[in-house]
Amino acid sequence: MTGAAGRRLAIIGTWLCALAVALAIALGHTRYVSDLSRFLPAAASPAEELILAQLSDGVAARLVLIGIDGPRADDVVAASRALADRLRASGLFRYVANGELDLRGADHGQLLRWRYHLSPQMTPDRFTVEALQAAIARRAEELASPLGALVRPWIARDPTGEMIALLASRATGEGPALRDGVWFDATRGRAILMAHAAATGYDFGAVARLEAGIAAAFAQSTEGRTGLSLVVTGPSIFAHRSQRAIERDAHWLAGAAAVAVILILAFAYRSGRLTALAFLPAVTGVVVGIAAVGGVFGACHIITIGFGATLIGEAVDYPTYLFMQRRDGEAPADAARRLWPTLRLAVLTTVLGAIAMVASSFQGVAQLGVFTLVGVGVAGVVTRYVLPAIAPGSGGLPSPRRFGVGRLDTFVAFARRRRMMVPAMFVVALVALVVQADRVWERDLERINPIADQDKLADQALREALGAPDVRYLVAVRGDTVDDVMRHFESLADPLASLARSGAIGGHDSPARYLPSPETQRTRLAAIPPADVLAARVAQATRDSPFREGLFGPFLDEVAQARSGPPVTLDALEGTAWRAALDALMVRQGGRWTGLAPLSVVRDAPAVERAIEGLRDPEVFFFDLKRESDGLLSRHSRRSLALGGVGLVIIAAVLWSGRGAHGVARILVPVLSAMATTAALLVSVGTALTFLHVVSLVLVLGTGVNYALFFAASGPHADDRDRTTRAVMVATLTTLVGFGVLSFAATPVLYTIGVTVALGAALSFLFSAAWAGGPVTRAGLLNSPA
Amino acid sequence: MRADRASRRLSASALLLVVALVVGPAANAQSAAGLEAILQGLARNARPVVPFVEQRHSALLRAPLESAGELHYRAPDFLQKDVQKPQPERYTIEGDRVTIQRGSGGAAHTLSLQSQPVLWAIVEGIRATLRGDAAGLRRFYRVEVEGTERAWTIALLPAGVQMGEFVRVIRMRGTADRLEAMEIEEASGDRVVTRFGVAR
Repeated sequence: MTGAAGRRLAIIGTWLCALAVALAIALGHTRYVSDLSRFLPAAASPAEELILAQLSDGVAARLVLIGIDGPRADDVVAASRALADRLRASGLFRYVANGELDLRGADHGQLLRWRYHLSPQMTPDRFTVEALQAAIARRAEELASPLGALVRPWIARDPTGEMIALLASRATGEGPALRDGVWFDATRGRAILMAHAAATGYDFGAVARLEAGIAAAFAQSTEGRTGLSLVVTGPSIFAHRSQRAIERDAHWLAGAAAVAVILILAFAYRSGRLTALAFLPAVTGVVVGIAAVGGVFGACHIITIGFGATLIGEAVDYPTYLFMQRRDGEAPADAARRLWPTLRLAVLTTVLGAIAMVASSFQGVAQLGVFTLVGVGVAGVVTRYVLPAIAPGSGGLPSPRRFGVGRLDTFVAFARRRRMMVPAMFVVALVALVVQADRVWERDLERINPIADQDKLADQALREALGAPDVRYLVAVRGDTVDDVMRHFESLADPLASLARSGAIGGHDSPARYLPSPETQRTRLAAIPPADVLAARVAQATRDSPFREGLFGPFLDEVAQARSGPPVTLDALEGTAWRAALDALMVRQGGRWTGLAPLSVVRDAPAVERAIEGLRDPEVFFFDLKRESDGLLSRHSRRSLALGGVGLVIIAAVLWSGRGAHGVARILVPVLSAMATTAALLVSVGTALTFLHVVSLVLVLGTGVNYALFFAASGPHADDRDRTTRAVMVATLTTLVGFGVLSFAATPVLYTIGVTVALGAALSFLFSAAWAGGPVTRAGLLNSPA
Repeated sequence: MRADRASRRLSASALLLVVALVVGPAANAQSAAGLEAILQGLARNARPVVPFVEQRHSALLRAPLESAGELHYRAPDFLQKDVQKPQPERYTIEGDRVTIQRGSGGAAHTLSLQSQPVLWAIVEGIRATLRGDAAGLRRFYRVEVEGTERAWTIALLPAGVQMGEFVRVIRMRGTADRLEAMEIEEASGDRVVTRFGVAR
């Protein structure tokens, strides 16, 4: 065995070992998460933290609306009841409401105990002789009614009807029209249910189980009834649906793109073996990249892999630069050695540029940075060392296809004579962007991953029928303890009530409704007279009623217990519908509590904001969730642009060290011009830029720098120049086709990436060809820099 | 049905069990015919409006609570309990729909009969009896008939668990083709006795 052969085996062995280790880490030790909140930026302020928590985990994100449609109202109503029962039992939801007043609910035992603490009807005159007489007379009427058997068990312990009043306060607080006891939209013949998911909003695995659970429960609930259909909406449901649409699109489009790229490479390389080898660097890069993200962050986000595979697309070009620039009869190993200085610079610019992303506060961007840094670096090394080790000699390898002999040089010369167009386009593009500055960035978070129109309409219809708060406006109160927050909300009751009177808001919910402050509880309990006084009053009221003497003993006992017992707390309500409501409205952050009061039917948001600010209370905030989340978005778009600037500086420094100041201008001018022109074209046709465009343009930057590097490095020989042009052309074509295919996607995410990258790659090729080779002299093309 | 009960009561005795098995089928057929005949008579003779007086006897009460009014019935499933004393109150049941109106000008409140299994079973007991529907009764109850065709009692024993929590037995009493009284014996020990056709 010769030394060279041993070295080859050592390289291949090392590569295989590294690949195996990376695979083991990626498959065995990396958690894959789809929870979008982990991809979102880390919060910069408490307010942002609250917004992010709300976006991923709040009332709004957990809300699921369900509609049941059918030709016969009775069937629809019966299905609503059956479905609500099944969903309550499923454990998938914290809370399921369909309008029913469920007197037999399993959680009422706890509520019963606390009814005098929780009932808003507990006013001082609640237990006067007159009030007791009226209440007891009402119970007698109920007992005599056809529903008497149902009421009877409650009479002796709850003659004032506190428990039913309590349950009814919840049921009617948020109710649309009822039909036969369940929420019913008469214009559509639709029963409506509202639920809060137990899982966080953007945990896609959990949302998938949720959807499957609803579908299964619906199927069981509608057995024997025909023509019923189900509508399910909600932010998490929509996010999950668009994710699935992306996956569906991505699967077949990625397949189509791969086939097209393989055909192009096979045509250009004229070798099946080399075509197969061309995918080794990128595949190795992806596997090692995932393992690196898993190692650094403990978990790898699904989105990171999706976008990361995009960014690593550059690595597919590396073998092309190697194989297509191979001289006739030259061994791949020799070509790799000859081309390495340029290829190394191509790899380094991307790898070091990715450091800017690694430093991002946006956890998703940081993951992408690590993925790109490691993946592209590994792909470069594999191209330089592993590919030549696998295919060392030229024996049996056909030369790459020589297309466009003569014509390519003519084209490049034509472009180079018009090279001043490149900086001119840059200036024009910048002017276009500045002129349209207010339209450059997408401010609407929803439009990044828009909801399908039919889903949006279905959601609107359900919300309207339900009168559901489109949880957009909130009043938030912060405090050290739950009690602090509740006290604060009680003091806000008056200002909010006056806003409701003036018509600025329709109403509001409040955590203090479900858990009054200790003071309020004490005031309510103070309405209860001492045991002997109450006993005398009850005895008097009983004498005037048909009920027998002494019947209300259990009532007297329970009231006395409530009067002398402890106040109700968050923990005491565990497992009740009240606790579910509180969980949705109370957020614990860093040892402090934030309570949320969703406002419904907000007609005059500025008036509400003025009123809240007028309180001059540093712990009370008014939130327009949409405005805040949109603001968050544009802040992060700007931050990612700043990161892009840092990355660019790093790339310029790398180029400077490799090619000098002159080289920096040669390489970066065409690329920046291509990026700016791409952005300007997109904005000019009315597209507002998003995070997706930024990711796409980062790839354009990575590939474009490579195009320019190779154009700038092509030697003095016409044959070499031809080979370089051909290599860059094939690289551009594979990018153009691979990403161009995505522009056929129906899902906006893929479409955006596809169009942006394809456009940017095409412009990078043209501009690099025109600029990077330097000016043309009268003597022709022979003055290219050596 | 009488034989059913007999066989249960005597099931401890093997000898008598044999006797019951021999006699059983014939006796069973006879009483089933009795139920059908009674129900057919009721259905033929169903009156659209009957006055009623109702009393609830309860351990909670010093004296029975009494109410009175009219019961309206239209085959197959319209039933209205129009209470006039002590307070006007009207329960209208049509199909699965219950409309409750308290007072004269008060807002009506609707609910679904099926959402209230206990009420549903009671209402079906009355409706099925009035329209002569033995199968409808058996959907909710074990049915036992006692007495003669001149003076009969149909006992309805709840089959459903939830209803069993509230109602022990409903007894319909009548003479020939006329329903004279209904007595609901609740699990709590309360009894609700409704007499039909007697103006108060």
